[in-house]
Amino acid sequence: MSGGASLTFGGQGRGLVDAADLVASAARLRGAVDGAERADHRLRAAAWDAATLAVDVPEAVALHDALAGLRDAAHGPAAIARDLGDLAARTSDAAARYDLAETEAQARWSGALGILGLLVGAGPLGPVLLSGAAATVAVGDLLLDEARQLAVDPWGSASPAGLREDVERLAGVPQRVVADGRGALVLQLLAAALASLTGASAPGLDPVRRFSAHVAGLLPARDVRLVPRADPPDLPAPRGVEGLVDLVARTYDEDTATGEPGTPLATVTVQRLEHPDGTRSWVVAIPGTRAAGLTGDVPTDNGTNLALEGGVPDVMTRAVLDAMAGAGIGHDEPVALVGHSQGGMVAANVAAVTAGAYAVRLVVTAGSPDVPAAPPPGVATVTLRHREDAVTILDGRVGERGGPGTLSVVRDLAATGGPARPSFSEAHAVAGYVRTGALVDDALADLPADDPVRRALTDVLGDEPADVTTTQVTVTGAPLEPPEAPAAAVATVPGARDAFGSEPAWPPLHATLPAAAPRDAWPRS
Amino acid sequence: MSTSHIESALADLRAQVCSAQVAVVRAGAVTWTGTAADAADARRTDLLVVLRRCLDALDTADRLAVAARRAEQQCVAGRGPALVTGATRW
Repeated sequence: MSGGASLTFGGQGRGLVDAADLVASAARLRGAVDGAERADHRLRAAAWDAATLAVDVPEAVALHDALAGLRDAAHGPAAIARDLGDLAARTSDAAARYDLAETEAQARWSGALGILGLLVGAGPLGPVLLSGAAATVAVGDLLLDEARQLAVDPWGSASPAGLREDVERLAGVPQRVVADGRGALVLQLLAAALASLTGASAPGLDPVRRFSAHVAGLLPARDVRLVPRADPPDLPAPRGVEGLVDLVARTYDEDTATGEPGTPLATVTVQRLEHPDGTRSWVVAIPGTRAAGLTGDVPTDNGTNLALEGGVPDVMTRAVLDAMAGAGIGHDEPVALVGHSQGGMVAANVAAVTAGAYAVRLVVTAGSPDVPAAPPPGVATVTLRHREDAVTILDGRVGERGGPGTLSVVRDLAATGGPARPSFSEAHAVAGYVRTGALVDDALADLPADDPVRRALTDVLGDEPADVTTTQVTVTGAPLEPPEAPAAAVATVPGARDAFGSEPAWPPLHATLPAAAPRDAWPRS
Repeated sequence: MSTSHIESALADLRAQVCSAQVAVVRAGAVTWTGTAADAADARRTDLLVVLRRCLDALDTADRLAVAARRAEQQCVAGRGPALVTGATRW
């Protein structure tokens, strides 16, 4: 596989596409079309020559008939050129549909919106105009449909049945807007309006990122610290994408449907895998948003979301980096990072900022918007997305997630065994993504054996079951308890470090992570 | 001779058809599954059959071209002395 691949689960079954491969194939086919057309011209000239020759050489009559017949035949070069052209068009269409890279049009659109936001924002009606445009995009089809209905049957929509139909259609607008991708456009327009209201100015950035970075920059810096969990659950070693996402599901706090009993909020799991061949690898699982605030004690909140989406430093990325350092991950030991929702954004960010420091082989995100930082080349990435999941479009991007080299997975829940009309929370639930991970595991056999994702899964999870040691740390912004209490607590806890060997105790009891400096951007691609 | 032009055109045609065969076969090796891919696969199979038939037709045309070339050579040889006789010598 030469580039990223797109895997879809929908009403028509499973579809797997390597867009870059298809683009190259379509180009070769178009070259063959040109060749066949040239051949047809030469055949016409040859038939003419044969006809001329036949005047003096009667044996050339048969040759002329054969050449003229071939020109008109269904297997002649002209027909072949048409068939090749059709195949090239089908291939191009498939490539365009699944192209993972940001298209030029997409980039232009984001840039235009950014400039529009600045220009329109200069006037008092700017935000109103942009918000109006967003509303028009959101319900435009509904209004047009209504106008058409009125023209065809002016009294129909006034009947009780027509009214009920209208109400149902109106109620379904949010889900429809998300599923067909319009939501991203609406979000960009709203972000442009908000950015112009708040005075965020950075025309080079798309509106969503510009607004997110601006607000994140206004938030006060905060300190968080890592608290090792005394009795982490004995979680199984993942065996595939399903197992990796399941590890995140179990890493959520106990108040969720999937969290293990006793797990606190904002807990990160670090698993060490000891393989039969003596090598070891690591899996880091990061949960998603669990607090609605911006600067609270629970760092998996919307403040972190804004920082991640805006591409400015955030406390969760810093916390995961410290958890990895504290766990003693060797610089050459394969690592898989997996996260759901915000956790996936953090996973991608961590992979980007640790390039060269750790041997991150695989990043798996489930229900996550894209972040500006991208995992470096050599890191296989799997992005899982449900078509009905509104959270995944909060980055304002249209189309597939991830970048070149990504296996981008999109599942239509309603068509593949999920709820028939999933609510936003059902569409985003981590349990649904565990099931999607299982579908991906089944589909991986369709990928070549040397596919980066398959190789990365083998590198980290191994071919045979590994011995696993699970540790967990909780990231918290809550102030320290009086010194005696935590000291005693940590002293009595074997904790992650003891389980891993004789390295120095970790994390340092009183060390707090440095406050995020929102205006210093992480390195990104 | 006219037949040499015709044979050259036929050789070029054969090269283009072979090149198309390669492109179609390689198109079948890309990572692409699903309904649209199945439809494209059927098109590829049909196209390969068509290309094979074209090559068969070119085999026939080649044989006819050889026969025409021989006849043309005999015809030219038969007219040869008259042409030589009428040629101007400098």
